[in-house]
Amino acid sequence: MRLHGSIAFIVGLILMLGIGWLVYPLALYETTDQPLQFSHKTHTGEKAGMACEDCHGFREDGTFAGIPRLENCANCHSEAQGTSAAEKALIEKYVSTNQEIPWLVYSRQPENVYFSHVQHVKLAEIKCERCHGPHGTSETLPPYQRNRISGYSRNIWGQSISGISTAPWDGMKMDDCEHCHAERSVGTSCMGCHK
Amino acid sequence: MKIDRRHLLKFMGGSAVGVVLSPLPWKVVDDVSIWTQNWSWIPVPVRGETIFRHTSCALCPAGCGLKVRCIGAQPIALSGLTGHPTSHGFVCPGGLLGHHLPFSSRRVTQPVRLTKGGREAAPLSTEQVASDLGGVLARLKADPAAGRFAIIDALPGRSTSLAYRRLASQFPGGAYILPPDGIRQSLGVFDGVAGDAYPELGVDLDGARTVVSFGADLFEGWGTPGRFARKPQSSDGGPRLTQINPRYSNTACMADTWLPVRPGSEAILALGLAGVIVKERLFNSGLSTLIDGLDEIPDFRDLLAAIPVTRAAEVCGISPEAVMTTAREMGANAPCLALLGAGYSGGPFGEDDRLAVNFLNLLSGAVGAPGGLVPRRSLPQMEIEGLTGDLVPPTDLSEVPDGSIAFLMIDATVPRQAIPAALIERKLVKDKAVVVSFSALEVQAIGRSHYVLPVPLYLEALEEIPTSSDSPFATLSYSVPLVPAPPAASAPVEWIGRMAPTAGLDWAPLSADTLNEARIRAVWDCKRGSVYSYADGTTKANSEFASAEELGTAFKAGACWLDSSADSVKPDLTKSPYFKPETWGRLKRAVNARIEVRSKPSDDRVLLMPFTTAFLATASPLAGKLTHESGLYLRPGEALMSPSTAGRLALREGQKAEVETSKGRLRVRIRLDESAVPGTVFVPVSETDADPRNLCDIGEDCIWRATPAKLRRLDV
Repeated sequence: MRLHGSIAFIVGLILMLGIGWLVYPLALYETTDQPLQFSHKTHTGEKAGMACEDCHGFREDGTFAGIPRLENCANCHSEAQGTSAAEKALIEKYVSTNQEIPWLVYSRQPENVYFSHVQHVKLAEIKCERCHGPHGTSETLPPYQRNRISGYSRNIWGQSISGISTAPWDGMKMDDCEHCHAERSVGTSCMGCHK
Repeated sequence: MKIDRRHLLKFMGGSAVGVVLSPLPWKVVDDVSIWTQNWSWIPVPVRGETIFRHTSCALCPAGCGLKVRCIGAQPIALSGLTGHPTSHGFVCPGGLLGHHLPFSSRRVTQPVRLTKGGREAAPLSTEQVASDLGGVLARLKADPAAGRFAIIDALPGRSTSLAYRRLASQFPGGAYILPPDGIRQSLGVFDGVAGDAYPELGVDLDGARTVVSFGADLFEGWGTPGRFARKPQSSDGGPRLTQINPRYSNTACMADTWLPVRPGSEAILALGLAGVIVKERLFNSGLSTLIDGLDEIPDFRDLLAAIPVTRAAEVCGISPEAVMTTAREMGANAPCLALLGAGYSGGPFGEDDRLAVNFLNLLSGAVGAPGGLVPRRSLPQMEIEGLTGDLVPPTDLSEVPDGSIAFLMIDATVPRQAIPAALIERKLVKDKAVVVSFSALEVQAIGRSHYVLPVPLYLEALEEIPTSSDSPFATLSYSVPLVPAPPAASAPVEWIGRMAPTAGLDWAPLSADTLNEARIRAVWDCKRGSVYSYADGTTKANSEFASAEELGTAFKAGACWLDSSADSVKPDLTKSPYFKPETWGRLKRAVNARIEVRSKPSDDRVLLMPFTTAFLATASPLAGKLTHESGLYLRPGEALMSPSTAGRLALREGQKAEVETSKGRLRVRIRLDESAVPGTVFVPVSETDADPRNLCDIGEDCIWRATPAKLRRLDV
């Protein structure tokens, strides 16, 4: 009788551990492909030899331009640069119709967060990879995983459902910002980011 | 195996442990908390490109330069402009959070009629309110015996102010009333000493070496915030500041010396200091003949003789050494400025205080000298059709007879601390007067109004910012529209234009744009001064602008005009009131009366002093939360007093008590702190029924600084 009770306990335990660790993440995130496949590796590698700032640059007033607009792409891709399906889609769906590409931004923060790229990249000389990881050398764009409850990307919380970072760039929550500031002995204040 | 209730409970127990050991509950809590930030009805800044705009803050006449960070055309952050010639990059808390105001829950978006003392509001259409009020004005015009028309202008000196004066001129006995302004009224002692071309004096704080401040909260909103806020950052420590204040205010905290005087004794201290300066001949040597000539006035001699240092110190509650040291510092460390403070809360000082304190400026040679009170021109006069002819002169509320106003308009477009409602009511024809407010927010300024007409808020329209009372030269800047105003919001002149046909007014159609264009043209026409551009930090001579339109474009991109200084103007000090015997007779009577009051101490009485800073911190929900929760400021309904006074009245920290004056009672919670001088209870001004100004005795001169009161414990 006691054994049966223990089995019931363990079954409940394992079932909920499974739901919490395995099923819940699957149910939590909905996966969407980017509107267009894009190879950072092709652009930053030997073939094109571009740097991050060539597309994700700073304006003259110091503000960060973020995701490049179509006109940046069209500078080189006014005509097809290859025969891939992605190249064909870029030209036909976006360049020729002059429609902006609706990229899904992995690092998009809530509206109440202010992040200055120029302060971090120019002033603190932090490499893009510190927060964005090896994104700049990726061959393909990973699917965008949207949290069904919060509405933000999985990249904000981090890949592990436990919230434990597996790499310095894994996670872009306030804890991650504070951790990095503490490492560098940089102060934190509410109004610094929540302006 | 038979599954029974025990198995089920064990299974549930295991499940509960499993849930806790999984990330599920913690992640759900985190995600749900973020989800609550994204509800559709919560206003969030739109997504878009980050751009920067430049403007001037229109929340007070200081007109601080601002850099505005916008995302998708929505202003989301304001910051000061370091190179700005008058604000020097500083902005007060109210100015920093000004972009929150359009989202205030107290935003007035349509005309309303208030009843039951403002507790009930009935919305009206624009046409209906214009017709109703036009009818009232027509009846008033036809029957002057019913009372007078009056308008209170929250921000005098604008082109709109000219329109108000034109409106008041159309009614027999019409009055154009200036709001209480401690700086303007104080400097008014010297009006006219520099000739007709320089009708006013400004304050050259930047050049002063010593500042003796009688309650002027230099770090908390007196004049232009940035002018004195630079002091701690100056390499030489900036001007030496002696703060004379019954409360250890934030300015007193930042001062080099704090003299905690008894409320009401400021004039006696000023004359005590003057006595030392005259006796030890510490005054400006160039004024010897003038000052020696004052000895011919018997009341002057008697007055200074009646207030020796020991007597002044005793009455003021400070040491004789402090009086001597302050006087000698004033003499040794010129240029020296004596400033008189008080904002809208404690109310301005009275005429006697103004005369006594400004006598120190005369003695130190500050009048007309760099680092002192310097002559300045008015803003160039504008010419505009419909605003010509005889206009009623500006007047102070104290000059309007009690019970005489039948129709009162209040321009509350600048949401500053209001005149006490009791004072307004005293001036109205009892039970018959109509009060109309132009306001963007349901703030205290509109209390007791019968109609509230919505106007564009700061950042919603091109707003003119005239010269600040403390500025050493004339200035002009504009706050530019960055967000749309509610459809029903119109400029006050446009509201008046709608009432004009029914009211039978001789009123040419005017719009805010017409007035602004006329003002800019007048400045361009004068060819004087220079224009500082916010975007690139450059200064260009006014005469270099090819047209008024080009100057207007510069203003709309963010710029301020600064008049040229008046260094060569030498004021004629004999035109000041100090060389008239009646001035000293008046001061002698006032001082004797105050010393008499001091000599009759009372065990159970205290002095009630309302107070606040000039900052609009509470206008923003964020600032209100921060200032209240930080404990930096007293909350409405709290009362600050010294432990010694509390001990005398058997009161302790946190206790509930009742303040009682001849005007009524107010429940407060006691807060004890050594920062309050004994014998005084300080209660913060509030926009609720807990406003201590409703309890104040307001004199014939419309001063409400301190009122005798009783304090009684409630929880015994």
